[in-house]
Amino acid sequence: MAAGLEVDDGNPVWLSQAIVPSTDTVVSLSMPPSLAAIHVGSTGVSVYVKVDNIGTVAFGVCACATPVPASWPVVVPFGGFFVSTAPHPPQTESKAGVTFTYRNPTNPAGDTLSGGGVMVSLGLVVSGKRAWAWSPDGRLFAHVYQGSGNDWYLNVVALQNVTRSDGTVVPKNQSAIKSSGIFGGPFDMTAFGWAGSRAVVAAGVGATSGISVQVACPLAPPPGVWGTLMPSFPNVVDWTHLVSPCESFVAFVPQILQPTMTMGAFLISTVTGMQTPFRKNNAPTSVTIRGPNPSLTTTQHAANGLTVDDGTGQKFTVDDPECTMVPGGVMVTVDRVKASTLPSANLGVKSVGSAALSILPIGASAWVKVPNPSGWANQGETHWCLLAQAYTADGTTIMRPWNGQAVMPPSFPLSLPNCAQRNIEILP
Amino acid sequence: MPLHRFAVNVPNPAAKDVAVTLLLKPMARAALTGLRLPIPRGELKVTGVGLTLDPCGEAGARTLKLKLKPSTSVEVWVVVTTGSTGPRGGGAAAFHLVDRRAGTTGGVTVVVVDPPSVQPSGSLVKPTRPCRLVLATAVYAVPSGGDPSLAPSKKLFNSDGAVDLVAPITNRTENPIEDAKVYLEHLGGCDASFSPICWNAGTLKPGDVFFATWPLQLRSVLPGSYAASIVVASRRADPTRLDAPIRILEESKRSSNSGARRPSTRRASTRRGT
Repeated sequence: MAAGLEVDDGNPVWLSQAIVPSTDTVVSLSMPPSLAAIHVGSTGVSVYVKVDNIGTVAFGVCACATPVPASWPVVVPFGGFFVSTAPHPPQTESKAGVTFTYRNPTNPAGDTLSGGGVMVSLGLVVSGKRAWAWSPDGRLFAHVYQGSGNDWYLNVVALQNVTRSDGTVVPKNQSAIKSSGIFGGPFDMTAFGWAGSRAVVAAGVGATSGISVQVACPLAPPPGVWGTLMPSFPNVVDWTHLVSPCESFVAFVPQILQPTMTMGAFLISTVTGMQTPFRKNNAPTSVTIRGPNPSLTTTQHAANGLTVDDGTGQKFTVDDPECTMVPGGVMVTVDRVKASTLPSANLGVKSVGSAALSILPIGASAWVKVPNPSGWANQGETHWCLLAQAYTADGTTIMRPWNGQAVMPPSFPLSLPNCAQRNIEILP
Repeated sequence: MPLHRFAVNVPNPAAKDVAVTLLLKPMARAALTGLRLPIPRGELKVTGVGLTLDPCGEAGARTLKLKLKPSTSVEVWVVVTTGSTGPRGGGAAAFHLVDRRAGTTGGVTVVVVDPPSVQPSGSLVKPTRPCRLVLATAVYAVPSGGDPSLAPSKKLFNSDGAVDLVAPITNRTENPIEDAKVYLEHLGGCDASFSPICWNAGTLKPGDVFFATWPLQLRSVLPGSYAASIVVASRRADPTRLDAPIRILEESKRSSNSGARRPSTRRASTRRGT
């Protein structure tokens, strides 16, 4: 998969037909405008730039490609659990070349990870009680142990370099996230679980009352931990923890065991580590659960694409939180510079403007309208060059090739496929 | 005799002196036609052409030698005199101004057009398969992260910080519109920064409203009225621009965002096109 954008060069190269200053009102992005003769006092002349997607990456498409319909699965409890303070030889569990070794509390080596270039000390577990699990994608290892009381300490270790949602990298062997909490009693095998490979969910009886829940998101920017204390209604309300198909969200969904009760579900983003409201047509909304068997099913990656069964068999829709909003896309920037006999000189580059192109399928083209708010002053010279460039808004997939507003900008990289030039005349 | 002047910048961006030789060469008629410029088809009779450093000069030589100091430039004037236009009512001629200096060759092309081009009035270019989604009301702003379905009582923007621009998109047809998408193309020259976002609005049934939002940073933005452009797309339809006027008030004339209400989907009018 390679992203590629093109703004067609002209023949000659300085006369690109993909850059058209125009006063036309072009309603469709697929229709070309007609060329305007520009005067110094012209108003309403925008620059239309035709951008082609010549790569194999579509822009404006959600990264979550999970086939729909897709039910949200339940968070999977950690598979590893061991408690004993009695002397025992070191015990191990291995996966994909990495070995987890857990040792007796009297063994100063404590719990460790080793193998495959991994060498991590997880500390001495004095209480003798720990739970652990590899993330389903094998990139992370979660280890939690009980302290001297009912306190617990979670450490999620990167088994390879992993990139957070903000672009920072957690190096192999480093802790991606740490968190801690206190339950009202010793934790059991079901207290901790992986939500996909993006978050660890902790839930147990609160230290004083209620239910203590926490979501630790190793791929979110720090702190990446969300937690709260929820009221407890034994035998009336139970909770299930569901994961969205592309693991971007954890849903806390009540199971209503008494028909007189209702309660709302809520979402935690594993991308940000924060609570996010359910939305309907992008307006915040509540999701009320009324029965014992609630479920969430993504039916389309769009608004109203998440079907909620309220636990009684009644269904309604809200927005798919993963794909209703797709940030990014393509940016187009146009500058102009006085024509000179040495095009690389770039004396006095003036900005024309920028515009977004948020939808561009593979192989498609679109005319992007770039308004020019600063007018068409020609500084006494009629011969100007329009310089257009297309790049991705994320700044990484296709980097912005050139910044004409920088001090002493280099030559405009006209040889790049996503850069083009059209010379124009700005008449007095 | 019509006299045509072209100012051409000859720069020396290097850190040392440079000697430049400028040379004027006529461009072949076929090559000029091949440029597909919107110029008269006739051929102009050129009676004189030259280079001069005098902005008021009326003649000059076809070759000019210059010495330029580091990081300086000079204006050179291409002066062309032509005969009267032919019976076809106009014509054009072109010249290459070639720049030769140590290690490189550059240049520009000047095109003489008589009569001069006039700016045509813009025309409306309609799509063949327009997307039928429209704005339910004019766009408005809500506080950053606020409920976009609660429109402020006055649809004005404050120039004092972060807001969300809201475009209530609706389906006024009698049939569902599938695979609806919405994005903000530009803010009409307003220098507020915005984050590009594409909204997948899914299937909009008749009367449904989807509240597309984009975070805007308005601090230090020039007050004024701007014509933003919002693009809507749907299955089997061309992506279509919607006109979205916005107004940035001066800070001293801030409007309060109190009195929030949901926008009506029936009363507001929507213009198509920018």
